[in-house]
Amino acid sequence: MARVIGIDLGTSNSAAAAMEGGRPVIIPSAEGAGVSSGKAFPSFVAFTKDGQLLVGEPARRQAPINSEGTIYASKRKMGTDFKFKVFGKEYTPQQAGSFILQKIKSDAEKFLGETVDSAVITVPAYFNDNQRQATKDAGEIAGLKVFAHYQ
Amino acid sequence: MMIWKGPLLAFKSKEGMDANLVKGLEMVYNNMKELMGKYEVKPVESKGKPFDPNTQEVLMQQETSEFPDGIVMEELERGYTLAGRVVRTAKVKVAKNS
Repeated sequence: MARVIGIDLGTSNSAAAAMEGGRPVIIPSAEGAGVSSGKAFPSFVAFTKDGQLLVGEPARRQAPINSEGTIYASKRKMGTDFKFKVFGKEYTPQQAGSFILQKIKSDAEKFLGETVDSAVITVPAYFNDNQRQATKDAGEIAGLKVFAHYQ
Repeated sequence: MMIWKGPLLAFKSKEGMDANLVKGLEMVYNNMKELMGKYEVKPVESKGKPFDPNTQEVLMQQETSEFPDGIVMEELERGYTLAGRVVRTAKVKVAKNS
């Protein structure tokens, strides 16, 4: 049976947890939680000049030398019509968020050894309807059924 | 890794040190190297290689004609892998050619 995880989609860093044996367990990233930044999933998305997509910790590590190819703090633009322009392509905040959620989903599946198809995603209490819907859309683009938003 | 950093730095600046102290540092250094080899802890090779975000982290970038663009000029802190898995990224300075 597919699993449900909880995701804290943050401005600078994101985290995820799942219930294991009745207890919540933090899901480490493939790079290992605590390596370098000490956070599992920095909310960074990057496109390198050779077309490689980097998400999370590797994207954060290369940010100082690839500022034009790096997207961060996309949560601040959630629910707006802002577009991130990267090497001639445009990305909505939902798409940027979905890259992070996709990475969390894939690392959670590796960690749990099961398919993850649903999630509860956190939103700040002050998020309006547009911002909440955009967060939900990001989850759906990432292939997650978003059960609820937790404030 | 944090404990290992101290003797490693001391060993690098051994010139002018008491000979017995250097001998002691050498013993610590060799023991540690042996222990790291036993547990498959290997340093990340950075200098002169293209920057790799999977094993390295950029702290600085410098314009230079000595190195091609995107090549690691200097390793500011050594990184390590444990049985092929990165346990600490190397902190590096990367070359920029305009």
